[in-house]
Amino acid sequence: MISTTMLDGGIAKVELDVPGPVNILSKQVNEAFAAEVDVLLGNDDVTGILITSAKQDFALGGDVEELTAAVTPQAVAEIVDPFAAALRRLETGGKPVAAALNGSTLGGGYEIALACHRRFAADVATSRIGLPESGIGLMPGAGGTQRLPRMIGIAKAAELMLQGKTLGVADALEAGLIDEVTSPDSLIDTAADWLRSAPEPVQPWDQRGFVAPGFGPNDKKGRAWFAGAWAQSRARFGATDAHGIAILFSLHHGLQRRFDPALAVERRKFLELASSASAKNTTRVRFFGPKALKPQPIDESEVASLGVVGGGVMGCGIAFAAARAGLDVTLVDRDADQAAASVERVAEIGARQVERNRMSEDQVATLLEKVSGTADYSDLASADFVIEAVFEQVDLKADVLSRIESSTSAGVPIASNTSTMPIAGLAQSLSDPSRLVGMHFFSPVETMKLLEIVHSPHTGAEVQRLAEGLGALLRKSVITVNDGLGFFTSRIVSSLTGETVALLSEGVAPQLVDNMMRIHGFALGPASLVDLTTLPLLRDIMTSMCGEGRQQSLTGIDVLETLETLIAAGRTGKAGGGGIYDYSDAGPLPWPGLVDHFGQNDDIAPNDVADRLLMTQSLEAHRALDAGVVSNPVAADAAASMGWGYPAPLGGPFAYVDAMGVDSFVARCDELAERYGSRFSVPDSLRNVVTL
Amino acid sequence: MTAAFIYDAVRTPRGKGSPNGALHPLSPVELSAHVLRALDDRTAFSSAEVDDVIFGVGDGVNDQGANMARSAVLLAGMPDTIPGVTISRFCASGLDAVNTAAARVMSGQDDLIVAGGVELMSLIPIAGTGGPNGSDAEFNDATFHVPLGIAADLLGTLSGHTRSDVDSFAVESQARAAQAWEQGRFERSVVAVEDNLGDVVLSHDEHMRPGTTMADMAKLPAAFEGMGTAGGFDSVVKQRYPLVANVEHIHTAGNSSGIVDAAAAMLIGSAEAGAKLGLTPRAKIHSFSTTAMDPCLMLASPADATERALERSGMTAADVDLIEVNEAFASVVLHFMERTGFEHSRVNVNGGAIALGHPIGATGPILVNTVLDELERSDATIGLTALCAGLGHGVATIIERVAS
Repeated sequence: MISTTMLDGGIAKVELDVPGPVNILSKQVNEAFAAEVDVLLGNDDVTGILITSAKQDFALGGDVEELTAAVTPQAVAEIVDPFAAALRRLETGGKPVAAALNGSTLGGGYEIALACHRRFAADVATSRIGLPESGIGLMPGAGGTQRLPRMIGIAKAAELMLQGKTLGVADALEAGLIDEVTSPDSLIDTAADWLRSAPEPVQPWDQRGFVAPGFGPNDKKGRAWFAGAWAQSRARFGATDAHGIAILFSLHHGLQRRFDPALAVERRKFLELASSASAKNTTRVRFFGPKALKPQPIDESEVASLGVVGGGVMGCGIAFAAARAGLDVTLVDRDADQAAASVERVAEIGARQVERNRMSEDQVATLLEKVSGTADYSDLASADFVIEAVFEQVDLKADVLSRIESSTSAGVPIASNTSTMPIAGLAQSLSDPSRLVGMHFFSPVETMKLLEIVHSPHTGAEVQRLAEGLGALLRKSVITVNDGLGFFTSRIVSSLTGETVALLSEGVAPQLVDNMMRIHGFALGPASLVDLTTLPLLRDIMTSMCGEGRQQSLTGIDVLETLETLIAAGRTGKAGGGGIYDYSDAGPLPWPGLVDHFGQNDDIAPNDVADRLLMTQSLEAHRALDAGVVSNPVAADAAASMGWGYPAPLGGPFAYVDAMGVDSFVARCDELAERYGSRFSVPDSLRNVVTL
Repeated sequence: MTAAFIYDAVRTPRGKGSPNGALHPLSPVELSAHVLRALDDRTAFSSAEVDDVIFGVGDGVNDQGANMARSAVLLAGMPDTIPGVTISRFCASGLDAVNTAAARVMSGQDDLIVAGGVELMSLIPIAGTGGPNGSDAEFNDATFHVPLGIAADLLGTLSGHTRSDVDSFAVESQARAAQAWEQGRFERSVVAVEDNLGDVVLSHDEHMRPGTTMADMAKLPAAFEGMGTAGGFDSVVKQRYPLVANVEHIHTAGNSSGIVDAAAAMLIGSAEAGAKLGLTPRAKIHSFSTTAMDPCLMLASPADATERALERSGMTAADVDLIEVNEAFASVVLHFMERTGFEHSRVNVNGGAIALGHPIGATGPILVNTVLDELERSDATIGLTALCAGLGHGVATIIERVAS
C-alpha cells in the first residue's frame, strides 16, 4: 500500500501503491500513510522524504464510498483526522519533503502535495491537478482550504475550490499549484536532488511574519470580496450551496488565524458538511449517478452509419453529435431544399462550437464531411441505425416510421425521438414492432448529457443493446426506462409544469412560484420556464400528457384550460413578446392580465407553493417506480439533475423523500392532499414504509 | 422617576465626507473635543460633577476607535475626573447616547451626562469596522445580508415608490434645508469649527445643494443597480421577499443621505443638576424606544420605533407636533409617513440628511437638537426623532419642550 525505498544521500522514496487500478485514499491507506510518516520522521538515517506513486496517477483523492457511509461528524473525523494530522507532522517534522507528482493529483492527493515543502510534477499531458471536491458537494478537508490560499491568495484559491476546477500541468505551474515541471524520466532525480541540497524544512506559513499573497480576509478589499462571493453563490444556488458557504467561511476565518487554529476552522466545517444530507445528495447525483447512467459500450463498427429523418432542431443536433462521434450520417428531409437547409443548420451548430472554443474549425470541417443531406429514403439502405426526429404528431411519425422500415434492411434498429409518445403505440405502424425503440434526446443535443432510452414491450433485445451502444458512442449518460406516457423524464417534468400552471390558475403570483424554486436551487423558475418553452409548444406537450394514461399528478387541475386561456389572450412566451411575464429592459414583470383572468391569491403560503412543486415530482417518481418505468432511483435522480436541472443538493425526486424522511414526507403530502387535491395522495408503496 | 432634561445642545456644521471636505484635515478627537468645549462654554458643565460623557460612534476604529468620549474630554483639557464611554449601534449610535444618558438620569443613578457623537466619514468609511455582516458567508445566509442601498430600493419597491417620488422628496429636502439656513434656523446650535490656528475651517453645512431641481436629480444614475443585478443582491432580496418580481433601483446619490463629517453634544441632567449650574431646561425627554426587525429589509424600522415610543408614553400621532426622521434614503421617510400617517408638513421641516448629510454617530443628537430648536421657533410642544440602523434596528426619542 505504501512502500519506501532508500535513495542515495538518505532520501526516503515513499510510493503510494494502493491495491487496485488507481490510488484512492481510504481510511486504511490514510492510517498506513500516517504510520509511515512517523517511522520516517523518527529515523535519523532519513535526511529527506520524497513522496510519489507506483501507479500511473499520483493519487485521485479520498474513498468516496467510505466517506458517503460516514453519516456523523464523528465518523467523518475517524477517516480524515489521522490523515490531516499526519500531513501536519510531515510539514513540521524537521525533514525536507518533496512531492513528485507523476500523474493526476486530485483532492486528498493534492493535499499531500500541499503539505510537502516543494511540488515537482512530471510533464504528462493527461495529468489533472487540483481540489475538485466541490463537484460532489464537498470541500477539501485535510488542510487544502488553508494551504492553497496561503500559496496563491484567497481569490485564486477560492475560484478553483468553489468550482472544483482542476488544471493541467502547465496551467498548474502558471497558477502556482506546483513549483517545478520536469520530464517524466527525470522527475524522481530532480526531486531527490532538491532534497539533497538540504533545503530548509519549514513551510512559508510556519515562518514568522508570514503574510499570504493577495488581499487579507479583513482588508477592505477582502471584506468586499467575501460579501460579493457570497452574494453570487446565494443568487445562483439559493439556500443549497452548503459546500460553497463552508469554503468561504473556512477561507475568511482561517486566513486570519495562525495555521493550527486555521486547520481547526476547516475541520469543523468539513465534518459538518461531509456528514450533511446536502453533501450525500450531491455525491449521489454527481458521483454515483453518472456511474449508474453509464451505457454498455458496443464496437463502433456495429453502428458506423446513422440515418436521421427530420432536420429540425433535434434532428440536426443528433446528426451533429453523431458525426462528432465519428459516425457517417445520412440526414433525410422532405425535399432537396429542406435537406440542404438541414445540413446548413448542422454547420451552424458547428460554428457555435468554434465560437465557444469547444472545437476547432478543422474538427468541425472534418465532422461536416460526414453529414450528407437527402430527400430520398432509399439512401437509408446502408444505415446501421435510423432515428426519426420529426414533429411530435402521431400520424406524421407513423408515416415516417413505416417509410423508414421499408427503406432499410430487416433487423436494423429504428428509434423514435419523442419526449412523450408511448413507443408501443408508435410501433403499431411497423410490420416488425421489435425494431422500434424510443430515444428521447434533450435539447440542445450537442451539449445535453442525458439520453432517455425507452423500451416498449416489443423492443427486441438486440435493438435494446444497439440503442444503448449508440448512446455510448455519442458519449451520453443513458437512463433506460420502460414505456408509458411521458416515460420517466417528461412524466416528472410535466408534474412540475402542471403544478406550476395550476398555481397560476389559482391566482398565485408567478414570481412567487419562481422565487421559491430559486431558493431551492433551481437555476430557472418553472413559470419562467413556461415562457421559454413557449405556451403553444407546452400546450401540445400537455395535450399529449393529458391524454389516455394521464398521470395522477395531472388530475384535478385545469392545465390545458389555463394554457388555452393564456394563448387566446395572445400570450405565447418570451420569444413571442410575453407570456406569463411581460419582458422589458427593466426585467420580467408579471403580466397584469393574470390577475384579471385568475384573480390574486394571497392565501397560499410560500412554503406550500414550494412543497407542491417539489413533492409532486417525488410522488410521480414513486408512481413511475411502482409502474416499473424506472427501477434504479440513483440513476433516475441523476437523470433529473442532467435532464431538467433538479438541484443536486436536494438529491433528486427520490432522494428528496429520503432526506426529508418518509414519515415527514407522507405527513406533509397528506396535508397537501387535504388542501389541494388527491393528486398529492401517497402511493401505498411509500405509505407502507412509514414507521409511525 | 427623576425627570431628564435637555439643557443645551451644539453641533458642528456638517463637512463633506470626502478628502476635499473642510473637516477632513481634522481628527475625530479634535472634532469631538471641539463640541465639548462649545457646550462647556455655554453650560460650564465641566465645573460640575459630570457623571459621564456618552458618545455614539458608528465605526470606532483607528483614530476614531477605542473611547472617543473619554479621549475628547482629555484633549479638551477638562478635568481628569470626567469619565467617558463610546456606544455603537450603527446609525442609531448617537440617539442611543441620548437615550442612555436620559435613562441613567431617570433611574436616579446619575445626575448630569453629556450625550453626543462623532463621525469623520471622510476618514473612516461607513462599515469601516467590519462585523460578520458581509464578510461571513454563513452569517449572510442566516440574515439575507444586503447592502443598505439595496435594502432602500427594496423598501421603495415594496412601498410602490417611483423614481419621481423619491426625487421629489429629495428636491424638497434641499429646498427646506436652504430655507432653514437662509432664515437662520440652525444658528442656535451650529458652532463654527476652528482649527489649532484659530482659523474658521467651516461655519456652514457643506453638503447642501440649494436650488436642486427635478431635472438635476433625473441625471443621476441609480446607485445600487450594479450591485443588485451583476452583484447578485437582487436575487438575495427576492429569496427573502419572494413576491418581489423586480427590485426597482430608484435611489441615487441625490436622494440618499449625504456622507459627511460632524460632531454633536448635548447636556442632559436632572432638575437639581441643572439648577446647580444655573441652567434653564429647554426640554424634557419624554420617552424612547428601541426596536428590531428583519435585517434584510431593515429600513422600515423608524415607524416601528415611533409606534412603540408613542405607546410607551400614552400618546398618539396627533399629539406630536414635529418629527425628525433620518433621511437615510428618501424611501425611508416616505414609507414612515405612509405607515404612521404623519403629514410631510410636520416631518423634517428644515430638510434632512439628503440635503445636510448623515454623520452616523453624530446624527442622533443633531436630530434631537434640530427638532428642539424648531419646537422653540414654532412654539410647539412635542417633538419626535426616529431613525433606522443597521441589522434592522429602529430607535426613537420623544421630547417635550419646557416653556420658558
